[in-house]
Amino acid sequence: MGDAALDQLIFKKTEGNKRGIPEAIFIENVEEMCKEREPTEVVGRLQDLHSKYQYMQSSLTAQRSSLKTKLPDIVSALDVVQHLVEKKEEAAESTYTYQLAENIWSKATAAPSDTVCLWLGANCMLEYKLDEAIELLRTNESNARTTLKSLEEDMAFLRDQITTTEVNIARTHNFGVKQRQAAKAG
Amino acid sequence: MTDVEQKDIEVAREDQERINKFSRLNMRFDELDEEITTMKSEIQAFKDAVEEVEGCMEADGILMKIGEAYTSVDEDSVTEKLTRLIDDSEASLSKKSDEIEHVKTELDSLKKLLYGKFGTSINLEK
Repeated sequence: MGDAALDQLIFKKTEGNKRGIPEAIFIENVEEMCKEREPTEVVGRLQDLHSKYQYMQSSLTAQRSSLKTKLPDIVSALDVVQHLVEKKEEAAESTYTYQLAENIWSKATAAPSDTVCLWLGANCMLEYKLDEAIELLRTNESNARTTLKSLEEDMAFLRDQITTTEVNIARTHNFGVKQRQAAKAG
Repeated sequence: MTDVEQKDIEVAREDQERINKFSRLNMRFDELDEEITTMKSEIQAFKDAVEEVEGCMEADGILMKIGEAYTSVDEDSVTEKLTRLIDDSEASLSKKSDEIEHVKTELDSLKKLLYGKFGTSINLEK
């Protein structure tokens, strides 16, 4: 009795699932399942599966929270560029109070400008025309939102698999208890 | 859960599906609950800001945060911006409140169904 045969009974690969989360199979009949093997063995494999799912869950949660901190940054950058556009239309100089260093603030005057530099990450900054900057930031924002949405869908799917596995564990475990009690009584 | 087997209530596939749905909705409920709390405090902060602006007698306008820096903006446009923020937030807050109500009704009906079948053998409380 190889583990592979048992594995096939408790989960299967899912098609069309980008993150490759395996689907937990609902055990229709626990007794049938435990005919050729000990309930404890089944419970053990299910618990392995369960901890794998939990690992996936923590990785997805981390991805989601990093996206959720990234989104406000993009929105605030968009705000700044919109502000620059307004200033350009007014064609007026404006004064900014900015942080020079921790606890030191200074004032600067900025003339209206056609361009803005966007921080692209990886120590790289590029100058954009204002409307191009807005376009880029909007694309980034909508990409982030799409990723967030698909991440949440995957998390909901994963949640189902975790719940199914938990119920499978409980049922198999209870079956084992029942079997041992019957053996003792008999 | 030991009781389940003692009373010999088998978990059928559709029960499993209901339990999964319950668990999903429960997760969604917690998320929404948290989002609503943060949004409420955000709206309160905006409203406080509007009041502060009204009470502020500064002649050269108000320093408003733009990105990482502050620039002086006249009172009217600050109030205008804040009102817009409040309106936006309140609209999405009411959308979320509707959703959480909907989730809650569904959770309750699933609870009734599952408790009806499994009685004390199942625990659906947090």
